Amino acid sequence: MSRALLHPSRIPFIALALASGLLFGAVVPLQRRAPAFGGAGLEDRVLLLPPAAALRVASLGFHGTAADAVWLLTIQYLGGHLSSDRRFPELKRLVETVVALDPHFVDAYTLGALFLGYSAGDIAGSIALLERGVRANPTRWEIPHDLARTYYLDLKDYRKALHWFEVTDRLPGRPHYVPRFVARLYAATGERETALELWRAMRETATSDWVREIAEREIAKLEGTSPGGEGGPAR
Amino acid sequence: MEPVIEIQGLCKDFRVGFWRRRTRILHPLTLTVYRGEIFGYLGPNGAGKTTTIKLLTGLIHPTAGSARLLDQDLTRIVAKQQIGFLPENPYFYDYLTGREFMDLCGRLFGLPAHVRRERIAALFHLTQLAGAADRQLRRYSKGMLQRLGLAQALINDPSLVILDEPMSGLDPLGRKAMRDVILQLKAEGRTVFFSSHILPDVEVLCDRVGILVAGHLRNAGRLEEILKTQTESIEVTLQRVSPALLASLRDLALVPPLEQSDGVLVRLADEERLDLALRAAVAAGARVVSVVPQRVTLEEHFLREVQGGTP
Amino acid sequence: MKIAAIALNTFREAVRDRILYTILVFAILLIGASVVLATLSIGQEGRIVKDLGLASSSLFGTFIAVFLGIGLVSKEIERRTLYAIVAKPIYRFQFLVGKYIGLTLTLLVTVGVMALLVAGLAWAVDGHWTPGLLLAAALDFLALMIVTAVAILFSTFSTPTLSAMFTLAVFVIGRLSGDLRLFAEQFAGPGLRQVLEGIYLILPDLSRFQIGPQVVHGLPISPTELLVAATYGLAYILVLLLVAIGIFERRDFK
Repeated sequence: MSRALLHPSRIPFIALALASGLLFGAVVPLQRRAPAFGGAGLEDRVLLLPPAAALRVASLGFHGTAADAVWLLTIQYLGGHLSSDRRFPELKRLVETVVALDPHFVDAYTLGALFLGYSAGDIAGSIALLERGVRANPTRWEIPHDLARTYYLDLKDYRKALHWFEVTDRLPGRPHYVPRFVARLYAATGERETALELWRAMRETATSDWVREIAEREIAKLEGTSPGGEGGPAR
Repeated sequence: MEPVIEIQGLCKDFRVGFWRRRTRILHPLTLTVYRGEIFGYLGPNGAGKTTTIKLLTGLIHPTAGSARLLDQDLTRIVAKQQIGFLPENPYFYDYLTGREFMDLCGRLFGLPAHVRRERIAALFHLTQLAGAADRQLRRYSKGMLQRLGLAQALINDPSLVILDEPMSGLDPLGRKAMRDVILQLKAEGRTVFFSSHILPDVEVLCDRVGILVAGHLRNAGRLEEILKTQTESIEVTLQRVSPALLASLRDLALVPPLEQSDGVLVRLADEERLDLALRAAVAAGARVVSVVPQRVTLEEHFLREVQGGTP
Repeated sequence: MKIAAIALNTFREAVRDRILYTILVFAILLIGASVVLATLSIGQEGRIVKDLGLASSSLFGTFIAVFLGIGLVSKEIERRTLYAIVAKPIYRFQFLVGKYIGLTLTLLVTVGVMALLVAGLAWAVDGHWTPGLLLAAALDFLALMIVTAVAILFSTFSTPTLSAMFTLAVFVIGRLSGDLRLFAEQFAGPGLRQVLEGIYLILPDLSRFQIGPQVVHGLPISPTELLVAATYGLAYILVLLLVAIGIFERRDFK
């Protein structure tokens, strides 16, 4: 018996045939061609990143996770530009957003400052960021430590470096070499007596031989050189 | 006879519609149900039968009036210990098995574990659900749910059983089984109060009935008394009717007498005419085969009540 | 105990509900994904796993609390499964409290699973155990109990859909509560400030129960703060349940 085209038993096949035709004939080819102006590229996401206050609200109080998300974005931004044009106009804003969302995100301050200083060449920005970090995290040694290093290595400002190494020295968990830098910097800034005191104290309290040897060497140097002598310590 | 349900002026208003207008769903109801009887609560859909039952079982709060169940005020929890309730179109937790649900119900009555076990087994047997006891309720058919509803209504060995439309969803076999159970409950000394609009069942089962129309109780009392007052006619079947007798009967009767295979069927309006007709028949040598008073059926009475004047 | 019977039944219902498992699976996937995401960072793996893990646990726990919570009462009223129960010799408040306890138990199990997963992953990534992770999850659980109580409260008088919406709205406002207050202090005029202050005081401040940041950063957690938060939480839950009991008692089940 002959059936009409739209007989109920035929409809599933017709529908499937039409669907396949559309899929492979239209949907797929169109998708291949069209530029991805729908999906935001990394640059767009960075440029359009809302201010920290808005992100705070949008994250429904999950500030830490929001900070993490923006941090991952920052890393991608950095990596992307490191391998292309080596210019990082948005880096400062990105990092500032991260620490606005989570002021206790220590790595964001230290690594952020590192990127700002060495990759973007913005030492002032780097220092401002670290100082902000110190205010928010007074008990963390990592941040003043990096400030000290920046002043010492990049800016050669031994007085400021000394100040920050002293701050670092007072904080729990600070590396073993910090007191030695304090002593050396006292010497480098002309405070020979203070330096000698510090080295002698270190010699007395040293628990390992090589620390005592270093102390001995520095004491010898200071006592041997003329007062006011300088010399950027190499170690 | 001691009252098991005593309703005094119980009424219920609802706020209906967009304007939350106060509508009286149940007008002040006064009704008594006695121990050991089967009481049928009738009415068309929307009359307020379910509202009444929900008031009795504590699902809704009365606007005014009071009721006592088993000599306890309606609002007291202890009243419910002796009552079994089957809701209309029952729907139970579909993720539980029949057994788990029955066990929950038993616990809510405070029954100890071994009592629960015994009664559940007995009730499953009674409702022929033993095979499905460990199946999830979502797999139960409508009829099975109805039967389970009956089982959970009986788990506490109640002296008063309240059933809201117990026949709904049952096929003829199921209805027969339910009727048998209700009669069995009465035989065990329990009181049964049920609402229905399936009149043949009510006629067969009930000792007393109440008819509710648009929130008003029209009539309540023993079934025979309600219907007896409405004897419509009396049918007499006679044989060996002579033409002369036939002529005089024609005058007496309501409608022309009918010739049938087993005799002549004469319909008479009342007992006086019956008297005259019988005397005439006997005098004429006719044989009286049967005398059957035609009571109005419950259905006809019911329709009359429903249609005859809404307040 | 009748409350126990209802509680057990509620737990059983939740455990047999597919929604629970769906949400749980998504949560576990997301927590697992946090490990993958963490590899994109340069040394912050531990932080990301903990932040995202705790956030997922909290968020999905809330979804479970809301979707199961609304079913506690509204669904029962809608489906009329309530009738056979309320007609029995059980006080309505016993029913309500039993449902609440049952759902709390369910949440305890699911959130417990998620929390242990997060703690385990953090241990694997960090190489050492982070103390306080489980404490953070426990305090967040208290916030979840508040959300559940809110869901029950709404469901005593509202439809399932509306209850879900209202509860989620309270959840969002509750989490933003702390920020709202800061905003009010800084920017709002006196009238608006009073309104916002009023909202802050009456609606649950769920931000009090977030010690995640402190745990992740290894900052000290003051025991007084914990005690205050716990007391606040319990008191608030009691208030919600009492109001719910009151409403539920007077409700007509049409």
